[in-house]
Amino acid sequence: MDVDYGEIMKTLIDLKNVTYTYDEMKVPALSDINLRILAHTWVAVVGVNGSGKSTLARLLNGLLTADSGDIIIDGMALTADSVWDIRKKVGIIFQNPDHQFVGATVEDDVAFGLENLGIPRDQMVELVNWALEQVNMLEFAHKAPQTLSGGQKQRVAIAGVIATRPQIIIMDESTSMLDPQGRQDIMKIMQYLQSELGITILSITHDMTEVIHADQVVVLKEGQIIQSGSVEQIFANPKELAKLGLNPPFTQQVQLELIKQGIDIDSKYLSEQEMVDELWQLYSKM
Amino acid sequence: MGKIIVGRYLPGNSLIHRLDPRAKFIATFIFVAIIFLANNWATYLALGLFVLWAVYLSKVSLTFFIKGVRPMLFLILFTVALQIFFTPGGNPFWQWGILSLSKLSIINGIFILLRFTLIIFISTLLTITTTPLQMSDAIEYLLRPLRKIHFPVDEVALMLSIALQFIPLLSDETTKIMNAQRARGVDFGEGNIIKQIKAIVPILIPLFVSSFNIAYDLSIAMEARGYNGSAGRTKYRQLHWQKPDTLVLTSFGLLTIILLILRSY
Amino acid sequence: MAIIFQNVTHVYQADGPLAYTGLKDISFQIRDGSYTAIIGRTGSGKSTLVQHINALLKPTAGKITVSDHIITPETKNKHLKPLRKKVGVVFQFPEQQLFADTVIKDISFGPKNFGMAEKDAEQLALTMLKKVNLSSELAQKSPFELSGGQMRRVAIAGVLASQPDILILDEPTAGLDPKGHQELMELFAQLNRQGTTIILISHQMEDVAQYSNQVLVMEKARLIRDDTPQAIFTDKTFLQEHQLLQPESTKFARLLADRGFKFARLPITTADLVNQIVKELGS
Repeated sequence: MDVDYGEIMKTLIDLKNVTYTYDEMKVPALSDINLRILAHTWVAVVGVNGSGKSTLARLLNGLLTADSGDIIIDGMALTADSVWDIRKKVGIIFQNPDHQFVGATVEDDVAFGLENLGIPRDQMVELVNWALEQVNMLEFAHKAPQTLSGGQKQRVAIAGVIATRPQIIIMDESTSMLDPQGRQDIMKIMQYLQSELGITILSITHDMTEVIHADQVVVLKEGQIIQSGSVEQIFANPKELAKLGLNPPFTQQVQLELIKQGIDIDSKYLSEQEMVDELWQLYSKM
Repeated sequence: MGKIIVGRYLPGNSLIHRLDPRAKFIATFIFVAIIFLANNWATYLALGLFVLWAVYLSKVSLTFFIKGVRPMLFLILFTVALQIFFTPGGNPFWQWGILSLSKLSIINGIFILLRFTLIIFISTLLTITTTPLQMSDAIEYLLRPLRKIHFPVDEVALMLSIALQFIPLLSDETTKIMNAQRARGVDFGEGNIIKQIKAIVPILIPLFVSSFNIAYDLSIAMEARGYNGSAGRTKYRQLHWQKPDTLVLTSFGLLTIILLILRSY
Repeated sequence: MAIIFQNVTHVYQADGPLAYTGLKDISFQIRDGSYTAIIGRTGSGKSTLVQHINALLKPTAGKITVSDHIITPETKNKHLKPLRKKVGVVFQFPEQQLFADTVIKDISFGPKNFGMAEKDAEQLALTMLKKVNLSSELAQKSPFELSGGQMRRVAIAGVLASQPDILILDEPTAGLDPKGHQELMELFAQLNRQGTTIILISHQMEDVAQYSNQVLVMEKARLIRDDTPQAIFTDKTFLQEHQLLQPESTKFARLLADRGFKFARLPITTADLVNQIVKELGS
């Protein structure tokens, strides 16, 4: 599980001019997408409902096939022949905890992906235990899904994905149906997976408290990437984001309100701590 | 919130609970077959004692088994009555048209009653001590020979296990949808038949849509996790045939021999 | 008093081997026209509680009064329509209740069940469609052709169409994007200003702080606190003990206060936070 830091700046996901149109739709769900994602980073994808976020997730592991353009994962082009190999590299955690539980018990569910890969049973037992340990669910190994909370089910879904040792995990609004406690648990686990296992995370989300921790933020609007960059870059111009129907992060909401009320403070993105420092400086100057 | 238990499984850790589900399945089949060897008091006594012993080993209260008989009671009594009144022969001590009553027919009636009760007891023992999942595992294993004729045993088994698992979820969905429509003024179980049928539509359509959505989402999730048919798959769940399982089948063999001996007395 | 719970207990499957308690000895009052939030972890009994207000569930002990209706364990399943007309419920993911072949038929389903003539009900449905910010062009479409966000609005319109005096909202905006969330929360606030009593189940403390004037905190089937949002959200020990989050503005204000900022009272909404900062800095 060692992270190979020599590879740290490697491009892991590379999309070139990718376009996808659903059957019977006139406008493409995604058009001419160019996107590069570096290995071991956390990427947040934001945009209003219907902007093409989930389509992007499904293209990345071949659940949908692009009309045109290239998708290259870890140097391997996504084609009909390579799709099963690509799926080994890219795991997805979906939104609804109840709709992705395949196994009859926790351990069976975690084993499902391994069974599909034809892993020998002794190895499976080891991997299932390892994966459940990573998400703190080992003690629930024999439980049936209906005895678990939504957050616990999502933890099992994560274990099922990491058991097959993918390089990339896509979270398709995976925390949106959970209560705050469940959300926090999942975020902690995902951060652990990124830092300790070096897994690259692509998270589709509306939750700004999550977005501000990302290494890269991608903003989608009507099937196109309109911005991509660091948190500071994306939130440099909060008014534009508000027009897209996206809430700025909390600190920025406060900044904007203060500016409106005539307080002399910059509108550039500030973290909570920076914001406290800034306000304290203003306060002490008086 | 509904907690449905399919096949009335009662959790436990008795000897019977721990048996390999295949052993329990095969034993139940053997029992249903050999019960037809019974033809006199001694054979029924042997079978009865055997079943009571098995019930005792399962540590499940006898009342659960008696409850299992209750829904079948009418059918049983009807068959018994037929047997009693329509068995010709013997020396009838009462006769009216084709109806007759003799010592022989009464004894036959009692035997039929015993036969029914014992079969219900033994199959209740199977469902009460075996989880639906273990059942589906056992069925999958026992159906394996059908692979030779290209019957998709593995797919059917996976379908069965997923279906079993989604019953509680669908039951919750039904309650939710019913509540939502009740809140919008639907009365269930009120009014004439046409009114009642009409009241079902707002339940059935959402339930259908919801099941379809679940199935769709699940199929996407399965594909994303690399499911590509059963070819090349390994299995995580394993059944363990152990000494007690062999002992159980041996005891059924012994029971068969005992019956064969007793029936000729 | 609009809603009164007196020692209400609810036990699920009371006579079975799997009996478990959903509500334990709950007593509280909600006044007409108030905006009450119910908070607590998943499974704490929030949904069980609200389902007693329109007798979808009946108490196994205790008594509930909803204006002139009284619900007790003996209440029969008949003649509940007047109560259910009075109490509208937007369940979690209400789009799951859609069933009719057109949007307008689905929205007018409730009013028709409560005895309104078809024509009037469809007229009302059109008004409701506008209220939830949907174009009247959608009226004749199948609800199943709409996007998820639109389906949610149609379902909510279907509940509003019965013109309830009391509106129960069980996480009504879960899964919506920020814009959809904002619009619906404003709609509910507007209904409240027009006199509708609102009961909101939510995990979003910002909403609870901004809109409600009474907060009920549930934990393990019990009501552990019935207070104002200001009192609850500034009680750090209580929040920590019961694993509840504080609103972002309260959390931020605490950071500022630790630095030496003076707050007249800890703010619980962004507006209040900004106002107090401006007052301090501007003077």
